Amino acid sequence: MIYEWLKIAHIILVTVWMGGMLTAPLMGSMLSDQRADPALRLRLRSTFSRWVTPAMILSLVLGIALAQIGGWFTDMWLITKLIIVLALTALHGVISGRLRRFATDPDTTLAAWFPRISLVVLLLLAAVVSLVVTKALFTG
Amino acid sequence: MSSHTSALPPDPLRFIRWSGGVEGLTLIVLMLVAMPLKRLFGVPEAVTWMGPIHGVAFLVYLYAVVEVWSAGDLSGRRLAISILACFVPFGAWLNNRYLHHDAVDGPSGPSERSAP
Repeated sequence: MIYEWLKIAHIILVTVWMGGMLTAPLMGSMLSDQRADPALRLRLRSTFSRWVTPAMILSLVLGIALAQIGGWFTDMWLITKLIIVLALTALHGVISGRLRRFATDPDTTLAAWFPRISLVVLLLLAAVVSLVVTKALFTG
Repeated sequence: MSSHTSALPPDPLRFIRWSGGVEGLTLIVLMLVAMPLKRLFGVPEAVTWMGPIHGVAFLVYLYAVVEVWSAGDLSGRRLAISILACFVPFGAWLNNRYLHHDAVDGPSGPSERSAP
């Protein structure tokens, strides 16, 4: 029963984390065109650090706990998923750092590739969901 | 100062030092306590739980160093050293002592500057 509750919390937290990582780069690039309003940049970064980063950390904690309780650590699908989570965590750092500089330095603009991070996040998310749903194919 | 400003870390390197300290501690406990307990005394539970805890600590540390690098407060060289350091016992702790050496001074680094 505790496994099910942890799973529910994990899915909710991952939804918040992925939602933030999908939208923040797009919103950042939109605010990059509105350089006259630095308060919005600060609010974007503040919201990201107050909601999305804690959601990431908690979803990592619960995800690892679920894998441990479920005994999944030796399964290939989970090892593959963990590598993708590593990449998502690093991408979260890239987004957060750029938004911090963007919010605190009014002369900073975001690169043209910055909103494309959302697409990379979407592809990685699709890979994770596919792995989780089809894990039976990997475990045989 | 608005309430949003307070959410920004006063010292970007502080988060790396904190998470690096935790990462280093979990690695030491894993290698010097949990693994001997498993190998010498046949108690695998310590590794079973310390392994995942160290995994989470490593991911948070990875996030911290990439975040600070991405904001332009850390050089690419120090980013690479910081990541490699956490694979060595006491590496993250040692790296914490030298963080400021390669920290980027001022608003330079990988962030894009405004067009002229």
